[in-house]
Amino acid sequence: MSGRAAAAITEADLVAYVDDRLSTERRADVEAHLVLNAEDAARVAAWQQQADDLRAHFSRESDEPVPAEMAALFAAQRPSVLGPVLRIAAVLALVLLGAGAGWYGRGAFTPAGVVAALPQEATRAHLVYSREVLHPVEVTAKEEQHLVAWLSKRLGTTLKVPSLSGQGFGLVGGRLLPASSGNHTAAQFMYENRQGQRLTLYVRSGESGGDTSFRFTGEGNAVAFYWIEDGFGYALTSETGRDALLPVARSVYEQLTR
Amino acid sequence: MLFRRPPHPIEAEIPRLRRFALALTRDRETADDLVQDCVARALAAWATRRGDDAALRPWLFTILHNRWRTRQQREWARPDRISLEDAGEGPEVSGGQWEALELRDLDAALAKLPGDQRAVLLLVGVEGLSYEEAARVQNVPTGTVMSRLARARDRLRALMDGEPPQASEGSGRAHLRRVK
Repeated sequence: MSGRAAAAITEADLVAYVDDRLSTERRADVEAHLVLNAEDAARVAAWQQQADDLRAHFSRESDEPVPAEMAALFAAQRPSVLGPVLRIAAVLALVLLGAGAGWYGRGAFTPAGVVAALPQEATRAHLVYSREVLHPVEVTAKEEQHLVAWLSKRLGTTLKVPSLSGQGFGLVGGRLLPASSGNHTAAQFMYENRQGQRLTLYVRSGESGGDTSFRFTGEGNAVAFYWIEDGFGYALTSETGRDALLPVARSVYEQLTR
Repeated sequence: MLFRRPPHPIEAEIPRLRRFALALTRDRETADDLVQDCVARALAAWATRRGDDAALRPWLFTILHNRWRTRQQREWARPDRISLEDAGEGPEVSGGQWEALELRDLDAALAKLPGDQRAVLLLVGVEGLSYEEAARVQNVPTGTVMSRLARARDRLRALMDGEPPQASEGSGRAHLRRVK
């Protein structure tokens, strides 16, 4: 031992020594103690052997296949967990549609007053669907062509789906959504990176305010970049904060306005 | 663009949950029932979960441990059934030879530990949880985790050496066998 006076070695030290949770300094103290104390040394050696045996013993147990009824829990998750959220979203959408239709007649024109602001509507949709585990999208990226053709038809434009692989995000898929503007339809494309972070690109038709530049809005981590072009509103939303989303949003903007 | 959705993060933890449950219950059917219960609860709470990926495993273990405790309490409340641990380990064996032979088997030795001791050996020694994390899972102070580890290791050592087991913390009964 060095000139430093070491505190007495306790049972907890021996436990932590075996589990390799001691500081280098304390570890040296324990080792010095074990040299002089045969009983503790035998105890520690037995514990170490035991720890190896236990790891081998338990590692055999983890190789078994997952029983079907457990796997089924993940398939059955949507109605039990997100059912209420989806219902609330549906009710909200109906209320918005109802207000628009009821107040302004047949919805023949777009009343500026009831059209929810683009980033708010996009963020609301993002928060609902980005939390979905099993059904984040209606049509997956496996059927990308079908997805794009379908949503293009419903929105009445030719949609382009930007590639964000350069930013580490892959397309998960997309879905059709109700909107408070235009022909009441919007499209949402969802992307995800390897860390499971999701962002959504929201496109809705019938923007009446004229083109806008590239804009930012958000509070805390829920942020959105958005712009309006040729009557279509675009919003890219994530919960990653402004700085992380900016380069991705710039790429989307460049790809879509090119 | 092809991009496969990764499986739910909880799904990847199922093998670990199953062996933790098995360590607690020593019965495959009961263990899987416990895991089923745990996963269902975890999924229900998933949307409101706070914490990063590193905290996922201790979180799941805690849910499972709590479910186990709840079931044990229910079990104890029923007069017609007693838990395996309280019932002892089957027919008493006489003498030291047979027992010594049998107990060289690690599995048989583990079976003689109380569930909490088996659990802590697994949580810290195999799953690599910190003492603090294991303490949260078992809902005890960190110091208890460490003394429980020492008890479990000493007892397992004695069992593997064919020595008579000593009374241990948390076992609920004293093992007083005469040393020959």
